[in-house]
Amino acid sequence: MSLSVVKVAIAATVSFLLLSSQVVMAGWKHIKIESNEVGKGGMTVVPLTEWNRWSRRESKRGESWTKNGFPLNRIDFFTQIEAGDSIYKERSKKYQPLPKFQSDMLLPDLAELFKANFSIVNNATGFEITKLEPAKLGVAPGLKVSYTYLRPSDPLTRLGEARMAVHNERLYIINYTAPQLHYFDGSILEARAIMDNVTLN
Amino acid sequence: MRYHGPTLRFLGLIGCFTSACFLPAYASEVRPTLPPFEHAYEPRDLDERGLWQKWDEYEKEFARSPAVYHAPDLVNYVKGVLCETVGPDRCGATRIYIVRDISFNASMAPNGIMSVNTGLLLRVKNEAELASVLGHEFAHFEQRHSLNSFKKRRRGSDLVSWMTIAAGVSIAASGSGGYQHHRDYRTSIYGDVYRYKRDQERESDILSSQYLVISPYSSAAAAHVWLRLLDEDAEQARERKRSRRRQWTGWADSHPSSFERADYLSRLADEANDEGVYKTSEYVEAIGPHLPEFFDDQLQRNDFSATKFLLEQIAQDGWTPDLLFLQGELYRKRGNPRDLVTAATAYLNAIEAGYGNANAWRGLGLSQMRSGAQAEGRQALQTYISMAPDAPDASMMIMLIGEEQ
Repeated sequence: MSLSVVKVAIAATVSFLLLSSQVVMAGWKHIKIESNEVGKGGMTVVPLTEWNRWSRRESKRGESWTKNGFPLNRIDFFTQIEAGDSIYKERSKKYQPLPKFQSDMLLPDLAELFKANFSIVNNATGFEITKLEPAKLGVAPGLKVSYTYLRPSDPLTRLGEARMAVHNERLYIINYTAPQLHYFDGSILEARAIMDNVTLN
Repeated sequence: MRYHGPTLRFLGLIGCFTSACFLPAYASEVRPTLPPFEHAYEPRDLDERGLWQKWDEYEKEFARSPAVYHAPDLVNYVKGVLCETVGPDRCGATRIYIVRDISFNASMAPNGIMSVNTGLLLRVKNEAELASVLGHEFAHFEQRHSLNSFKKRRRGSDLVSWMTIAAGVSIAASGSGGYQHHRDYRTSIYGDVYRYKRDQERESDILSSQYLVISPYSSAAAAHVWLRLLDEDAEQARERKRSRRRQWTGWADSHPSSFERADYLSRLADEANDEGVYKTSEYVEAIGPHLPEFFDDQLQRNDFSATKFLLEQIAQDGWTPDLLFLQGELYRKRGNPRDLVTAATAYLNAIEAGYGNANAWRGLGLSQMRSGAQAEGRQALQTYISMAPDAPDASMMIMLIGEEQ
């Protein structure tokens, strides 16, 4: 067997392994209507309907659910964010650094921190906070952010609602987002119920 | 107004350095006259008709997209600059769309859609610089680059397909040597496609420079755009501890590097030696009402040094109340203790200079409260609420004021 054929065989094996691992990485789990520990145990929530959880984590201790696929509706849980950490995972420190949670931030600063993290990760523009008001995340006092945003190549207007609170000096966020057309209204009441009844661990 | 950044000085030092050294002869061939223009041009062959049809369908959706920034005054202004650059007969074939996108970019579709990103409008400083980019995009349209590029890519992929079959036969007949040859050919074909695309970009740059020479605008402005981008990147690279980008043209780059473009465009301008205008104040006046919105997108990018560089470039002719407010926002968002002091000063300066928007009081109050000046911060937030009782965050601010009492 010549050297080139060996190289081709190695390349094919590596490709197969990589593809296999992609399948494992992008796995889905069925979320049942029962008590669910999310974000590596950072929160406990009880959904009203069934959801699908994607295994890829957007943050160190977080997870993401959807009903009809992420472009149509998604709820993200971010738990136990320590001072000095970003909300989303910082995937490129040199090219896409994310602003970090700081322990001296005021409540409105948390909304701006979320706005910047979200805009960078989703390449969003025109992120407009339509309502910022005091609210509870579970029993923890915090804030509710209602917003709209755009994406340059997206033909849809998208809406979002996030609830966030600092509990035991760590930041917790639940964020629901969907296109304004049909899907946002489809699950917002359930998303609010999840935010109201969450237990922060 | 000429641009005098650090990269310009470096460019002057190194002299003829990049492939621009080969450009003057190339340029002189097209310089005397512009290509003939055909009014109400219609696509001719099957490929071109297909491309136009695809883009016509796209435009129907695109025009309604929320990402398109609907500001008729700004669209008319940009269209006016394009018409001034390429002439009223030529510019009639285009439709301008301003896209809410923070990246420095513009694009031209074969059927006459010209998209201009808000990130580009934020980064050019005068009409002449804007004209150079619009002229470049129009040159792609005039030279039918989309169609030619499509044909080139198709020829390349056809060739690769045939080479794959030939390599299969060769491997079967004579062992693995055929595979090596196939890989070499494929690399060469891909490289040729990228090189072709870069040549189209150079051709558009040169034609744009010709438009500027004939127009009232200064052709020297074209190089300034790329020099400023290089300087912005240098600021970002320093802060993020990474190497600088856009210095060299790579094998798989679709465009020449910014450095190379600045080099040959400044040479073309030197040769033309035209006495054009820049129209800075006209540009500032047109973009001014939209600046806070465009800048807000930039402020969300956690890109302090580059954003500061941009802001200082805009403020070169004076710090207006709007710009002082944006300076406050920039420093407050970074949020170091020293930044909060700088932010509070900037908000106060903005208010003193006549900034009438309540958001200056909001920013001032939040900066002061976070840096420990509770009483002053509370007072500033109270002013904010009294000026904007229906603000989206009014209830949050009222809670914050009460909480701190």
